[in-house]
Amino acid sequence: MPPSEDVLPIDEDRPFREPWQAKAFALVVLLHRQGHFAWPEWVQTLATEVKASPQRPDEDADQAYHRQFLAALERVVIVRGLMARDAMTERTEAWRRAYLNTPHGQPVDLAAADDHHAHGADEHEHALTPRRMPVAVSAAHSGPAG
Amino acid sequence: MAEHAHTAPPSDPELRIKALESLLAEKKLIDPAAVDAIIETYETKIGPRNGARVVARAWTDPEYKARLLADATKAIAELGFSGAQGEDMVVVENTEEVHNVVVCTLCSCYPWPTLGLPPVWYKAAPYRARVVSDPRGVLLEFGTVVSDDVEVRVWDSNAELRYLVLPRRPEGTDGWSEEQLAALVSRDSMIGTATIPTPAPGAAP
Repeated sequence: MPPSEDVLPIDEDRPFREPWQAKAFALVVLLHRQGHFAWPEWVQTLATEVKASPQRPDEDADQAYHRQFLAALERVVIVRGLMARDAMTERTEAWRRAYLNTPHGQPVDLAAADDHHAHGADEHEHALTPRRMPVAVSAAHSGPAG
Repeated sequence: MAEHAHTAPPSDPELRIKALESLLAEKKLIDPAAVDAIIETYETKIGPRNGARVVARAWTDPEYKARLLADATKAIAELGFSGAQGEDMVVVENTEEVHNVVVCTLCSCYPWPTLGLPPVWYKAAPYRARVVSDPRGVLLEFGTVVSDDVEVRVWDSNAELRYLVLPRRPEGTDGWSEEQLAALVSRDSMIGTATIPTPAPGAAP
């Protein structure tokens, strides 16, 4: 059989290589436990995603599975009306801006997303234009010298 | 932009998870501490050692074994293992005539309370497809030779039912304690992709 069909592409026991994979798993368990969706609905959503979006040449089986898992989680959350796709996308970008606005080594807080130094896509032009004006001016007072 | 000190954003999936988690927490739909507790449980407390205890009990206590084969969910709960993905368990017994192996053809259904989370190969497409079309060939790739006069049964775990294989007790383990026996039971032997080898003479008690 061709090597790509080996059943043991990766011999690895750790359930999660990256923290986000563990978070995604835990969010599914928790939302189910709190009654936001029944387990068969989750399995159906995951199975649909697995089928619709199989492993790509640039990823291994584990990467493919967790990509499918995350996409299924997002889908079930949207279908169940827990949040809108737009809000999710917007928040993802807000986190990206928050990282970009936070000096290296400092904790990243979502509030930094709205930092006026933001250099997100819509601010490129502004950010790249050298400032020729002071940002604030306190006017001088003419008066008797002390 | 280059002159700004900044933190390099993490990968796209990580940002998406941060988005989900922060939005769900703001809506009071989740408690972030509960998320961390679940991760800790599945990373450190739940794993195939649980299933091994079930198997060892079944090997040493015929009445327990009868209960396990009749109502696995209940018998497994007797040992304290229950919860998500363990609600409807079926235990299938390997014998001289039958070898059982478990798959989830659609995704990754797996008995978490007894085996923990599934290995990568269990979730991957080649195993899911090929163990159904060529079970003996796949078992061989795991180094498991099932003789031609033994029937191989493949069980498809799903959202409603999860299967656990009761492997055969190896020869030469008469008089072993439940604890010693449990140490012999591998994860793969309870999925059915492995058997349990006969321990070397003098290996235990």
